[in-house]
Order: sequence, then structure tokens, then C-alpha cells
Amino acid sequence: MNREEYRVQVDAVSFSPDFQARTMARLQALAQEKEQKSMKKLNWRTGLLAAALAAAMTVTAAAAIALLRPQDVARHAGNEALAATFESKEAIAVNEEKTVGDYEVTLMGLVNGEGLSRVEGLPGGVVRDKTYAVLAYARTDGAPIEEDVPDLTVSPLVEGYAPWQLNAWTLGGGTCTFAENGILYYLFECDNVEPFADHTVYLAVYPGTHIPPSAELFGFDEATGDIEAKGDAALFVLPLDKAKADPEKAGALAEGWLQPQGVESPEPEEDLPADRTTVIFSEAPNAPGEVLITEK
Amino acid sequence: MDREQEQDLRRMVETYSPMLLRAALTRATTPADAEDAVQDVFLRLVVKRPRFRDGEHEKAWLLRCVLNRASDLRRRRRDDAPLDQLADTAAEEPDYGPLLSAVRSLPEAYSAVIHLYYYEGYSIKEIAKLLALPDPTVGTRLARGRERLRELLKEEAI
Repeated sequence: MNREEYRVQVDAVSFSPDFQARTMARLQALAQEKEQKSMKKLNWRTGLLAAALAAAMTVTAAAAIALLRPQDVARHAGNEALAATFESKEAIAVNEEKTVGDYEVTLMGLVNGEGLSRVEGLPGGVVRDKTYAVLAYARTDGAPIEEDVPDLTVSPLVEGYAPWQLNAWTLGGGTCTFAENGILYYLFECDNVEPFADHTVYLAVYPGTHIPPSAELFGFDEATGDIEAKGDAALFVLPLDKAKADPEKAGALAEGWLQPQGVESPEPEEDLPADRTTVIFSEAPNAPGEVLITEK
Repeated sequence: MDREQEQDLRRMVETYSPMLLRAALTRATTPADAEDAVQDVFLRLVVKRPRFRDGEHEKAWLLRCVLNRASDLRRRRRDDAPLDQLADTAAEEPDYGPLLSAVRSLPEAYSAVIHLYYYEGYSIKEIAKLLALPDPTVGTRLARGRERLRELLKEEAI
């Protein structure tokens, strides 16, 4: 192929001479329109009735492309009990959107409580008190997602606890993911985080595949307990009921990661369809801090 | 829009428009459609406000968005046209010259790589980064694209 000939033919195509000026004018008009809309939204939120209206009328970009509902995601993941809970009044709808690297991430909703896990009747009367969150990922460049393992990690973080000490790995996190219609759905589970409800509890989403939170990804102020995201990481604040805070239980959960984990009672597991990827985060037995990742 | 945001947008429009218009042209039916694709992506930038790690990330995001948008517009044009007007749609295409026409007729996966390599002068590694593809995939697409071009141009000569 003759590079020079190709260049000459491309350069011969004429575009509008005012393209850049027209584009800037449209960008300015759009930005202005956006500002006016957000000011209107603020005004609406001054009254309770208006706030309810605003919530009902807010359509996120993700919703506009007809996302599955959290209950559909739970059902797709083979968990009917969880799907039913997402359909009940117990479910907390969030529908908040943040950009993380090349992805538009929507935290759709969450549920907390017992009896939701796929795995019941554990030996030793272990109670499966869990938090489940459903997220949807879309690529910001509009390209459909076809792979079922995104280059993002999800982990709960709690204000007052260092991210590297209390996270998905120490709270028994696990995920189930699948892609449908170009969107990747991410069902995340971990130990119930409601006992921490008197602190700000975040769901952090950050670049990297199954990477534990580190000081490179998050800032932690030991004096105030504040957590801040660095780089592309995003922090969703979980809207938990403060009345459900249980400092004693929270303390036990926070310290649990220091205890060696028993390996003598492997959990019974159901077979999962091949179009789903399940990941279990755990620590190496008798070696706190050493991370094990099991993919199925 | 504050002054800083306006300056940032102006910088991007001025810096990237020529490169993005040329890339869009490998997929869009007409230069006007290429302009629409690029403008749509800049508008998306205002709505979505993605955060970029650095200039490379910014350029790659814009390029990928523009290529996707140009494909959408081309598909929409083809799908929306009644059957009896399909020939008219084709007739709307300007006379691009044999080499550019041949590149435009390649499958999209090949035309983007060929264009970035031959016009913009990017290396295989750079194209891989821009399009978020593995290096060997870019190499294969480049080789297959060249091969197809040779066949197309040979046919045309006959």
C-alpha cells in the first residue's frame, strides 16, 4: 500500500471549515442547558413532595438502556430467595452512577439479611447474614461488553477502618458476573455490613481484577478514620439504616480477619451455569493478609 | 461551563478534531456524517465527564468513541433507508479516490488499523493501546487488511 497516495486521497476530502467553531458553540449550549437543569433539580429538592417527584423523574443513562432489574440479576445468578428479597420492601434502590476508568458503573441496589445465600444449612449452625449489591457496568465508549470478567474490583470499605484491614477479603466477599446485551452485571456478596451503619460504609469500585484495596488506591486518615479514593477509584455511599448499627457485632467482624479460618468444613455449593463466573475472595488459612482467589 | 472547563474542551476540539474526522471517515458514509460522529462524541464528553488518567487515555477514549459512533451512524443510515433508496444512499458517497475507497470498503476491524498505521503513522504497539487490543491482534488485522486491499485494488484494475 502506498502511504503517500493514501494520505493525498484522505487530505483531499473536505470537511466544513467551521466545524470546530460549530462544535464549540454546541458544547457551550449543552453545558449551559445542563447547568440550568441541575439548578432546577436543586430547587425541586427543597420540598419533600418535590424531592419525591424529582426521584421519580430522574432517569439515569443506564436506565435509559433498559438495564435488568436487581431481582432479574439475582434470578440469573440462580438465587430465587435473593430475587424475592430484591422484589420486597426490604430492598434498597440506589441507582447511582459513577465513572471508573473506561466504565460507567451503576450501583443498582442492595439487600441485607439472613437466609439469602445460595448456600444454607452450614455445619456448626453458621448463620449466613449477608449484604448483596447489584452493579451494572457499561463501557463509556459505547462498545458492548462481551467478556464476563471486568477489569474492576468491588469491595466494601468502612470509615474508621483502614481499607487494607477491612474489605471484601476480610468480609468473605464473593461475586457472580455475567454479560447481557453489552452490559456486565455484577452481583456482589459479603458479610452483612449493617452492624457498621453508625459509620459511613462505602462500596468501592476500582481498576484491577480482584486486587485487594491498598494504600496506592485509597487514602486513610488514621486520626479521623476518613477514607478517600485515589486515581480512578469510586466510592458509593451505602444508604444503611443507622438503627441497625451493632458495635459489638461490628467489632467481631472487623477482628474476624485476624482469626485463622477453619478449612475442615468446606461449604456445599450448587452447580452454576457456564455463562457465569463466580469468584470467592478469602485469606489463606493461618496466614492473615495472604489472599486467595478462587475462580469457578 | 466554567472557564477552565471551556479551555479544556477547546483544547480537545482543536487538538483532536482533524485526527478524529479522518478516522470517522473510514466508517461514515459522507464527510458530514463523520462530522456528526465526532461532534456527538464531544457532546458525550460534556454529558458523561469521564476522568482521564493522562493524554493517551483521553485520545484513546475519543478515538474509540468516534469509531463506534461512526459505525452506528452508517448502520442507521443503511437500516433506515427504504430498499428502493439504497442505491441513492450509495450514490451520496463522494468520489474518494481508489485507495481511500478500498480502505473504506474493508471490514471495520481492518480499516481502523490500516488507517491509523498508514495515515497517522502509529506503530502496532501504539494502535494496540489506542484500540485496547492485544499487539498480535493489531498485527494480524494489519496483515489481513493489507491482503484484502491488494485483492480489492487488483480487482479494480481488471
